[in-house]
Amino acid sequence: MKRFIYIIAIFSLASCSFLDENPQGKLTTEGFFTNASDLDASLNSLYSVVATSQQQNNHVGTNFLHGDDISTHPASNKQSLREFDQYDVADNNAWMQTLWEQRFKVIKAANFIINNASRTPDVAQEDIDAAIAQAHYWRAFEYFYLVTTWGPVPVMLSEMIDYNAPLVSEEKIYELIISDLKTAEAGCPVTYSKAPYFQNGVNIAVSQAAVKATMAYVYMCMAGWPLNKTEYYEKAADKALEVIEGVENGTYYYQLLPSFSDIHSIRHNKNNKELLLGIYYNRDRHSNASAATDILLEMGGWGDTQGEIKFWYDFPPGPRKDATYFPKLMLKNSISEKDSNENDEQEGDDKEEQQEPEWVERDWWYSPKDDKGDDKREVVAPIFMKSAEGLKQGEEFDYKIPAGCIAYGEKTIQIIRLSQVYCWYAEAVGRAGTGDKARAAELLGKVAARAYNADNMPDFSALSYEDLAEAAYNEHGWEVAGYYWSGFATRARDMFRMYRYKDHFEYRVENPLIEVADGVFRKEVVPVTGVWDDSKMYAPYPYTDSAVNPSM
Amino acid sequence: MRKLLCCLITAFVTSGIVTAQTDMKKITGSVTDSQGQPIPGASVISTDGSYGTITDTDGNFSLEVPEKTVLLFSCLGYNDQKTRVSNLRNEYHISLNEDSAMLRGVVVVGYGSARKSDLTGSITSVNSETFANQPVRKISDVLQGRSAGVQVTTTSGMAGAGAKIRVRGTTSINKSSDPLYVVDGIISTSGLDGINPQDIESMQVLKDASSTAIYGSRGANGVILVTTRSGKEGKASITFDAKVGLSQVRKDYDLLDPYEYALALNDIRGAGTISDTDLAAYKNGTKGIDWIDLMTRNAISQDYNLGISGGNSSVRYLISGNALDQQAVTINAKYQRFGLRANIDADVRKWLAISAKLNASMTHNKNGAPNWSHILNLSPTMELKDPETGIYNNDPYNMGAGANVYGAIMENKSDSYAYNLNGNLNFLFKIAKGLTLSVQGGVDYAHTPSYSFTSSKVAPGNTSSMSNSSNMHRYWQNTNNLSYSGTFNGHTISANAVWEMSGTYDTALSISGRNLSNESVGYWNVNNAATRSESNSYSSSTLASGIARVSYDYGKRYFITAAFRADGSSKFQGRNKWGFFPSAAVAWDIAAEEFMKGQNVVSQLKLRASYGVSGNEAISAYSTMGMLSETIYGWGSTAGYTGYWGNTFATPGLTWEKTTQYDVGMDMNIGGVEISVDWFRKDTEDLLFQKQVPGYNGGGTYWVNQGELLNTGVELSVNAFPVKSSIVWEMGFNAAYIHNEVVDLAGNEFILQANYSDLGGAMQIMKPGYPLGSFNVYRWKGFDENGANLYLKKDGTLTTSPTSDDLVIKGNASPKWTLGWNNTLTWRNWTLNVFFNAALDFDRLNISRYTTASMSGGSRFITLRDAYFKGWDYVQDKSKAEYPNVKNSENKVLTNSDFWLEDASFLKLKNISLSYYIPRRVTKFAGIRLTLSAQDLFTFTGYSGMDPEVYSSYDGLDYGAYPVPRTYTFSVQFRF
Repeated sequence: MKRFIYIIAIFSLASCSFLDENPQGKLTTEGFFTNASDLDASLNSLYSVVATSQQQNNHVGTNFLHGDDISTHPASNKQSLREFDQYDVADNNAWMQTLWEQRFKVIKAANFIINNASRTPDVAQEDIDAAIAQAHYWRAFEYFYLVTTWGPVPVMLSEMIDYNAPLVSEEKIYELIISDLKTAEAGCPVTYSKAPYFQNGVNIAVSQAAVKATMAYVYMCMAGWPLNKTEYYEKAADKALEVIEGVENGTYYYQLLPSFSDIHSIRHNKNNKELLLGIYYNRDRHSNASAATDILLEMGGWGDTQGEIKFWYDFPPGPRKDATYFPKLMLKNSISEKDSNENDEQEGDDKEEQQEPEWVERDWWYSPKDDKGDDKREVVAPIFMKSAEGLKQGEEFDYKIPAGCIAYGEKTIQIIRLSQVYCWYAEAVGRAGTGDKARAAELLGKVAARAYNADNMPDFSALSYEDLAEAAYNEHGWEVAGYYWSGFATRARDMFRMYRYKDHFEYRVENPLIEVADGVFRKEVVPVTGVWDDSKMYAPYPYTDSAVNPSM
Repeated sequence: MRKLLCCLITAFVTSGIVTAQTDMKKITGSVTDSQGQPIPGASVISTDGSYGTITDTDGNFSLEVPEKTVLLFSCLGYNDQKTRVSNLRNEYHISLNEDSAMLRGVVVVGYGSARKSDLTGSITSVNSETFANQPVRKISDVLQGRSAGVQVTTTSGMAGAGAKIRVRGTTSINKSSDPLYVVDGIISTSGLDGINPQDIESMQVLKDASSTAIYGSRGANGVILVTTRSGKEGKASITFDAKVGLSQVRKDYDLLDPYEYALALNDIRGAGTISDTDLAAYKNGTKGIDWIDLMTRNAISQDYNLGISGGNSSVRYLISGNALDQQAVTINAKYQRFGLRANIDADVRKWLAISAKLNASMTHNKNGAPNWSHILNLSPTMELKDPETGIYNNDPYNMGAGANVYGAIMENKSDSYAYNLNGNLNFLFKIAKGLTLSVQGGVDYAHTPSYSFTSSKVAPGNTSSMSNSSNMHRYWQNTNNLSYSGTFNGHTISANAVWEMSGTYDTALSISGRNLSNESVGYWNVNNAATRSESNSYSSSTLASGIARVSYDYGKRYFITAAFRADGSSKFQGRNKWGFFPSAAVAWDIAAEEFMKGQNVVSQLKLRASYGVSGNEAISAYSTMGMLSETIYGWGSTAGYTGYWGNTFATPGLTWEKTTQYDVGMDMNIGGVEISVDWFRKDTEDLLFQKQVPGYNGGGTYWVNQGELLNTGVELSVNAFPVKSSIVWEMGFNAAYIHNEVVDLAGNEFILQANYSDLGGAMQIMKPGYPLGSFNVYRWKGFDENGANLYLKKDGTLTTSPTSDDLVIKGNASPKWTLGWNNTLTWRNWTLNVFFNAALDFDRLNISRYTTASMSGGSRFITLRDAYFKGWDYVQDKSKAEYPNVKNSENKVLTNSDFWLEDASFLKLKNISLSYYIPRRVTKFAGIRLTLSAQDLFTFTGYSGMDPEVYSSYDGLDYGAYPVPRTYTFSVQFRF
């Protein structure tokens, strides 16, 4: 008995350490940023979070269905996309909630570095600066996404949970964006020296030119709606010019790829020198879900998006158009002019032998009518081809092989290309109404050179400032048509800053027939109704957050 | 022991009988128990008491009695039986049923045992006899419907799948509400999967706080004590039983056949989607897939048990082995269990008894359950695979890529194993009269490796992959229990002082690879993979506890118990480590009072009341420390770059979740009918709560001690013998009503749950004033003039596009009422068992029906026959439409709509079995029991899905839930 009590006493004393936690194999914030490897690891995570935030279209781009370039399926499971296409977004739009949260996840991952990385010992200051600069870039990138999609939003600069975070005005947010980008501009190197930041001859991480280009476009947005501070067009032109001159004097390695069809090709997927900034994926290690989204349901894709007819109609013919849209669609031979119920019963072996191929090439507008006079095809629209990739890893996509499509792919998400910077420069000069018009026209000409056929090649040299701006605006739209994956300078965002949603909304309400081929008339299948008001410029706050935060 | 006691008493009773010599007839016979074992020392007496004898050691007797004498066969621990001596028969073989009231005489309670009549708390016992003739394959089957206040929901009908077990409702929101399982005094941390139900002697469910608070920080969800069988003194008994079962899916959805589906495709997706040639082939049946038929089968299960037990006065042993092989009703999947148990009890010295229990088991899950949502939604008009490449096709019309469940189950391989070893050694020192010290040590070891392989053939463009994982779990416990009990002049005192320490230790290793260069290596060669990942982890936690308990009663009339437990847990920081859990209970047995002595109708009338606090510490180790999150990213390459970032928040102030419970109850025995009634109120405060982080803070959750949940309820159980003559009908009925209410959600006005971004958002909501598992839905109100769904807006008007303002709370996933009714009828050698189980007043959100009837989420087309033929577009008389117009792009199909919310109340005939016993004297070598039974034979419900009970995700969402199959079982048991 005595011994028993003794044992208890020992256990009681021992229990102090007995009950301590020793989390082996795990890291704390305090125990992190203790060496150079930690700094690299923090960037690995930031870019991983960024890659997740752009990997699928409920994480990025849902809102860009506002654009006049792109529409969605009229009835299938695309309600979240459709609401944006219809300029009628509900606060319970399921994808929009994810879209919102993903932006702030990147901001959180960036804040982790911004607020902690400076204490890393035994590392060259420029490495710390570069890491913090990249974090500032991505924070700015996401606030830019937020301010152009929702307007005023809460600003989170630390890891504090705040249920009463106030909404910050657009103006203040733009100030933060510019301040972050300036930090990024100072700290991000021209080229990185080691993997993974530099691979296959290109910068994978954010480089100086990417920051400058971003600033150029942000300034253009500040010059547009809703701030309308037109003086920023000049700043935009200046920043774009810094990139252009850097390319011309060899500081930057970027260059236009000779053929437009190279841009979204698999052969240039990992080493695209036109790309100032991309987000890189691999099927075996963090894939993305962009490959099947544009492909029609009837072709085995997800049928998320398709081209709008008017935009396609206005799109100047040439190699760019051919690489942007499916030149032809492979459709089932069974979708044909003949009456589908005609020879139901009399199938025989002899018929099998002389059977026609299962798939045939058709124009996108091909859609015979059924008995009731309805289209035999559900979605009759031009189809974008930029995000499609081959079934097998490393294979180019060939629209002529109707072998189904891959859902999870590895095409690099292209944030900014050099041709866009040329367009921005030209537009900024045009809108500013001052500056080197000739140079702007020349750069725009470079963009056009690989986009048009010889017979319709435009000449920008004689345009007025205003016309130059519009020409550049259009060229940029065609360069990025249908490509909402960038999450940055999409056609929709161009329209937003130029306050052109309203025009397009009214066009969609009217929805006139367009003669897309001789005697073939087509119009949009997703109906848009109602009357315009400026609240449609922004998405509503997700109700999951507005319910807990009284200021939203 | 029971038989020995019987023998002694009978000898005493019969010794005074004088045998007269009148018109006599000599009869012989035997007395056995319901299992066919002989009962020695049973009394055989004429009802007038004139003639009598007792059975010998083999249970045989012979007696000379006058004709037409009525003989009474009796033995302590068994129910009496009467038989009239007929002039036609000279042999009488009598089988006595165990007296369940006697069996339940002593029950195991936390850290001790008590006479059932002395209990002050609310404890439900389930004895092996209540499921003796039912083919029970897992422990949750034992509890379901047999214990009031224990709600067992079978969440999947997959072979080997678990069940959701709730004792008196759900007490925690974000942490486990599973009860604590204690097997022979040692906490079972790896679950009960490895325990053979046949090894169970009894289970006690501790429900009220005075019973559970003794388990302190782990007791809030109720405690289930499992006592395994022990050997009994006497001749060795050998039993062997074999069961063979046949299972099949009970109810299918009525889906479009291939031809109808093809026509629907041409109608909706545009004529020509399906060619004329194919249409003809679908019509005449040469093409087309019946997915349900393809994916299901008549599944065979086999279950074998061997038990050997026996012993002498100082050593008792039991050795048992079992093998279970259970096919799933879906193809190419099964569950296996092999187990071995050895229980030894020995009285080593006068002052020392030891008990050693060892259980080793292996379970194997071969291939998993297919996604039923895919089975129900895949197009019947697709081609299974490419005949040239052998690659399985994606569904071109309906389900997204990679949904070909047949390809997956045929080409992929997955095997998960669990190796469990439970050891339990107890030294019982008898220090002085009434004073004992038990020193017990136990380990629960589980090794759970799993292996999987995914073939590139399952879908076009699919990358092959493989993985191995090996998790090890170790739990140890040392319990030192000093206990005293003594009686002085009608005052009985018993007391315990316990010091307990325990620890868990978990490690995990896993490797995986993608893109195998040669897939024939399956999951066994990671070096064959082009891209490889690996991970490992470690986690450990400890708990130190001190317990004191005192019970007192006076004259078996007035009872009082008080207990206190202190727990220190490593999972919390600083002062928050220690939690204190007091409890107390009182009881008064009115039937034991003097003034009740004059009657013999009411043998028990005990009023009980108890109060206590128990806790929940079930957060994972280190969760208060805010560890960095790990990511692996390739920067576009196949390399894996490891990264860390601050995604979680540290919560050093976190501590226990506390549950305060009040219980008032009454136990009655009126004329042999046992009735127990309980009312309780269980208030859980300082919930371990995962508070939602706003999206603008990056989303996710963090831990707080906030929030409050309330469970109140009433329980009733009745055990009786409505008929007790040559036919014996034993009946157990129980019913429980639970009211659950969220009181506070850490200040949140509400929290949305069950969020499906592809199905339109959150399906469920937690909100103060409403129960957990409440659905948050739009109210569907028919169709507009174009066949679009109309929903009721907040302002009472109708709309086709409602907003979040229009959501209402409607329906609940947890049954308010659960009922069980178990009947055993015995007549001569026949035994019939009929067992019903019911759950009432609850709902399921039928997402399975939604996906088959809507083009939304993962499904791009419809498969449900009614959704097409009774769809607005198809029916001529639009007022008869039951489903919306699928061609209308204005139409919004919302999953979170009461259109898909269904009352799932059900009554199931869980078991019906008929068995016949052939005594040993007939076969000469063994007693044989033959049983034919059926499980889940009928379900009475208004629910339109496959099974109202199961659900697949969150709480009560039937999103391709795996239905419980109907099973026919034949079993034969030998008793040598």
